[in-house]
Amino acid sequence: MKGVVVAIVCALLSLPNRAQERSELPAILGRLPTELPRAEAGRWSDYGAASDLALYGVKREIAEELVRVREDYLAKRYPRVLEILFAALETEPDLPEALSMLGLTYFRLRRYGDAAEVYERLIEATPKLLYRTLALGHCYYSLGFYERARDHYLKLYALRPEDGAVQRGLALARLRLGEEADALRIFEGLLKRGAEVSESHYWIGRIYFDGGESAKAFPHAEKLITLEPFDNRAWYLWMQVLYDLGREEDGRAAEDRWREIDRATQDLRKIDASLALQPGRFDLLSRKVELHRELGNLEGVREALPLMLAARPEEVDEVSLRIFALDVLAALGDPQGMRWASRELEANCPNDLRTWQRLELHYGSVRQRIDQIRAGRRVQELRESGERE
Amino acid sequence: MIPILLALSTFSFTRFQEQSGPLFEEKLLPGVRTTCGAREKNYILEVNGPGLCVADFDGDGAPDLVLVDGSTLERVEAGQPGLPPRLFLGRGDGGFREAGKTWEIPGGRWGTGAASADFDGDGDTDLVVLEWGRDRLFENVEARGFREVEESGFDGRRWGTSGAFLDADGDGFLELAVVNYLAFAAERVASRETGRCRWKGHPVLCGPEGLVPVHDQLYRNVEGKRFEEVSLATGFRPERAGFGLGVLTSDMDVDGDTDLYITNDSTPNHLWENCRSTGDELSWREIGLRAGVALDASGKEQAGMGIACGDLNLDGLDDYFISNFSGESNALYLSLRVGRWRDRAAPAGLARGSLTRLGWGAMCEDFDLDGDLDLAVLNGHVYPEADAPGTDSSFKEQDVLLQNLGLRGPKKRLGFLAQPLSDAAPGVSRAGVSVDLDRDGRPDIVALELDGGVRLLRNCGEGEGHWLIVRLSGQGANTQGIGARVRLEWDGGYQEREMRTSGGFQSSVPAEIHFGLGPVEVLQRIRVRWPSGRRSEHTDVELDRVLSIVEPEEGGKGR
Repeated sequence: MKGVVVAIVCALLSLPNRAQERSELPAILGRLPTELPRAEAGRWSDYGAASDLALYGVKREIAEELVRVREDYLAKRYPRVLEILFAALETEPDLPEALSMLGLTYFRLRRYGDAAEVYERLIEATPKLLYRTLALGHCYYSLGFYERARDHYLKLYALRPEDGAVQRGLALARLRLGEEADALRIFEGLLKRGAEVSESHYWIGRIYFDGGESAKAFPHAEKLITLEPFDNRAWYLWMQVLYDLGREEDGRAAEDRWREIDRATQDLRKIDASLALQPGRFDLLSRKVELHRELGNLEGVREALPLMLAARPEEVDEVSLRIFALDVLAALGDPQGMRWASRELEANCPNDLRTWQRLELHYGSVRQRIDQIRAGRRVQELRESGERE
Repeated sequence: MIPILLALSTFSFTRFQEQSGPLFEEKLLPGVRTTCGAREKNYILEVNGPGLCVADFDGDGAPDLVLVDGSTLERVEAGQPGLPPRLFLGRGDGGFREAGKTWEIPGGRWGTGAASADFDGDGDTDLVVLEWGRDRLFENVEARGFREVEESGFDGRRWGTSGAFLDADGDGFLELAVVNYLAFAAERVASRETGRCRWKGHPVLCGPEGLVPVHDQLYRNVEGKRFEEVSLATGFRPERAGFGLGVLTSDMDVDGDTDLYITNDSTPNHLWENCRSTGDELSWREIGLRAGVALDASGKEQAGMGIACGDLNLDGLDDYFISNFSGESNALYLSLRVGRWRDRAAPAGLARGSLTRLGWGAMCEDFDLDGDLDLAVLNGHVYPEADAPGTDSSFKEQDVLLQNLGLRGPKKRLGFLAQPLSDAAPGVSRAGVSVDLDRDGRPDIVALELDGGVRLLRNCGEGEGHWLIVRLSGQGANTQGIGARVRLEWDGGYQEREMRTSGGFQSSVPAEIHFGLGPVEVLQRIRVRWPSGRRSEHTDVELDRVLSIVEPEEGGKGR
């Protein structure tokens, strides 16, 4: 099965995707938030979470567009999101809901400077929405402004002291500022109450390891690889701890696994960065499915497969692609996924001989005898009607 | 050429001024510009910039400067040689004059970097010019001029970037490690204009990812006459090649022989352990991953541009500072124990301010003469597109001095304060070397700009700290004592540094060690562990001067 899957993937990836690769970026990515007009002073100063946009004279179409744009955001169609938000903010300067989403979108695009610009404007225009600016701390952090990140997280901590994400941000900023004992205390607190568990194990392990205390790092690194079996950082830490403790054989095994995961992770990171700017690129989505399949990461495959199928270009044969989807899920031993893929194959490609040949095999393998017989009959019918293998 | 000569003859540093801003004051070497391909930067070959070598070639005690210039693809396609490397002779006051005809070096294919040391053991400093093309060896003829060694033993047409001289096999003659980048042929690499490669969505030049890295090379010195490659024979061949950029020699495990640390772009850095001490034959083992210096703390490969080294945490072991790409932190690998390092850039305050910049030339000296080692990093992006929206970076960037604040707090944590190196506007810096050009005891900096000038950064610090520059005179062929460890001891403290000519990025540094001593006024002794294994001890040393130490002959005492 593995050989078949690899062959299909190779065929898919060899499709001419240069056109997609070289396509022009949406013009909206060339615009800057500093171009956006400013609202008159005080326009949004009392706006809060429960405020009604209508009371602020915001047109209904804009309010509705802001609701709809969330779908684009969730589908990671970021350039489209930017277009809608820029249009909204040009009509209604500093509209808080639009600024908030614009900041988040820039953050997802890793445009941290632009995101910070937007969030700072949001806080200035609408102080009551400070609580929505967690990503501003992340932006400062990503730009290396650790003092600013720490100070921002502290403001949010005052508002939401129980928020694990705020505490994690604060701990990381403190860590980068050399305040390791404080960071350790925060992560241990998070772990105690079951918040940010994987991240806390990672960073506690990391702090101990970096401080030369590998024995103390060991239980955290060990727990982490069970919690995050496809996380390259987790395996790297585990490998380092094992080597440092002189456990050569275990260390080598961990190193092998880390190398495997790391290679795929690096490719996935690049793919995701490109997809953020050019969503729906079939070549990248195919590669993403393949990388997750290689790792055995079912969750990753399940996330990427539907996106790949939806992005299928005209020149890619639908039957082959849907059979590929079924093959991948079968190779990973995912009964639920196989049910979904077989249903999709049957529904979308009912008149193709290859569909039923594959379904006959599939139903046989999962012992659905009635469906197997049905598929076999359909194969026979299609052959008799002149369908070629 | 004549106008340059005239201009150089009138150049000197301005007089010492009251310091109210950055530590360095910048002047350009008049009339000199570097070339590295087209301004548009369509290919990776066009962005690494020229090489730099600082050494005392004419033997007058003042550092001289070789600028290794590049070329253009048009010249290459037309079959024309690259722009010739140029030697500028130091006057000892920070000024330079262009050297005469005997020092002329013909253009090669495309100059990139340089290495220097006394390769033939005759007492003067020879030069290796690294190229995108065949590397070239120039013998210094009695400190009066260069002569190319035709039968150098250098083979192939690789893209060398940095080189390091070291006595790897202990015979006194210096071996040469050449770091190679990647296999480049313009007709086989997509140009920026194709739109094939993107960075943050913008079309940029392609590479190094997606291109083929080329293995580094180790050349054995054959009795000071030529080199022969012994990479494979000695195990100097990693499982996977890296995109090599920087190299530094260092006895990282304090076992008496010289090891090598190589920084690789977008691939793991390599730390080569010299295993000679465990047997007679020269052999190498790559231990970067185990030692903790191959990757960043989360296991991610970084850009690995320039490299600098010194005992920053004062435990007697070398620590390494590596400059990296924008979006990555520069790395500071601090020794934890022999053979183990941890990246401690962030807690030391080095990450902030480096994430938005792209670092190249890296230096480690006591720039403010307060008795501890500082760092400096030259910055400038590879992509002109860094000025486009959404990159969180820029093409021209500020060079940075990282002033050591000392070991602080109960945990003796190292900390640095970042500040601009000079008042000069941001530029696109590349290779750089720190050296006391005017012999006032304060380390200055020579920095090269991509398609720009040669910047002479005079250290105009107000620090009144003491200092000592040590030069070595070895017995046998290793006349400059490359690989020797020099330890200065005083009541309550010590400093130890290693003699080397490698470091930085595409650079070669002078064979001398600068010690900043701060308030220390009296040394108890200087101990030297020579590459030959001999040891010498020296007392009654006057400070604030250049000190030459001669290796004792067998059974004798050093001078």
